Amino acid sequence: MSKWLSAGLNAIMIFGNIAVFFMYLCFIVPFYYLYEAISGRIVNSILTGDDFLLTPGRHVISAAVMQSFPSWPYAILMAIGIAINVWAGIKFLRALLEILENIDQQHYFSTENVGSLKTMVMAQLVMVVADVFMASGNQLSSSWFFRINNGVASATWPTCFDDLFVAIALGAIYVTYQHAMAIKAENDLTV
Amino acid sequence: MIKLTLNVVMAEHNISSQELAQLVGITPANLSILKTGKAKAIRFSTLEKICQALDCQPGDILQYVEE
Repeated sequence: MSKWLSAGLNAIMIFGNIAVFFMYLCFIVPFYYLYEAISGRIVNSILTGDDFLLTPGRHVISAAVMQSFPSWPYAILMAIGIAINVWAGIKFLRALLEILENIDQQHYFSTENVGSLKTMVMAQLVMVVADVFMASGNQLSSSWFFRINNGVASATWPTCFDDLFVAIALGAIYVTYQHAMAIKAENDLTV
Repeated sequence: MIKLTLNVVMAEHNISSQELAQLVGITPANLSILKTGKAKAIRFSTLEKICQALDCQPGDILQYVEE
């Protein structure tokens, strides 16, 4: 392995570990949504928050609409979605870091890599489930207030399909790698 | 299944694993894989060298056993 590739992998692993640390901190976000629901600030946050984009020509919101907004379902959907997404994200990133570490140590064909790839596929599928929760929550804000979430938890219905496509692509890589491992094992036992 | 009777032929020729591995040009570890029946396949070149070293036919070291 070239020095540059090894240095690049090490740099990615350092940034990846920092990202994992910050992702653990993201577990606070679901509690923030629940806190906002308890303090009755959900509607205000959606209407005045920087994370929400306005739909053209839909600027006036009546008091009746504001009062009828289902704050608790919104907060619960977003909290569940974000919590699942963060958990899956951490699993995904840690599995990716394991694979990168094995590549750095020149262990290209190891059973650990198969396990890590499987974890990545499962984590990606869990992210699709998380997207459904967040897309449902964001659907509420766009249906009631015509505000489209553009922040961290901005998943919409197309995002579910995007993540599903990534999961299918990763699944294909996993199956191929598993077969490659079987061929490698057979080759190792050919004298 | 195919069973390797390499052990028997080696004993008949009174040759050690180390010696045979050296003559065939494979590692003792690979020869051990062959002797213990863990091998999934054997190359024609390896088979040829084993037959040459042990002065035998492939049929002497390979045996078909019904499972």
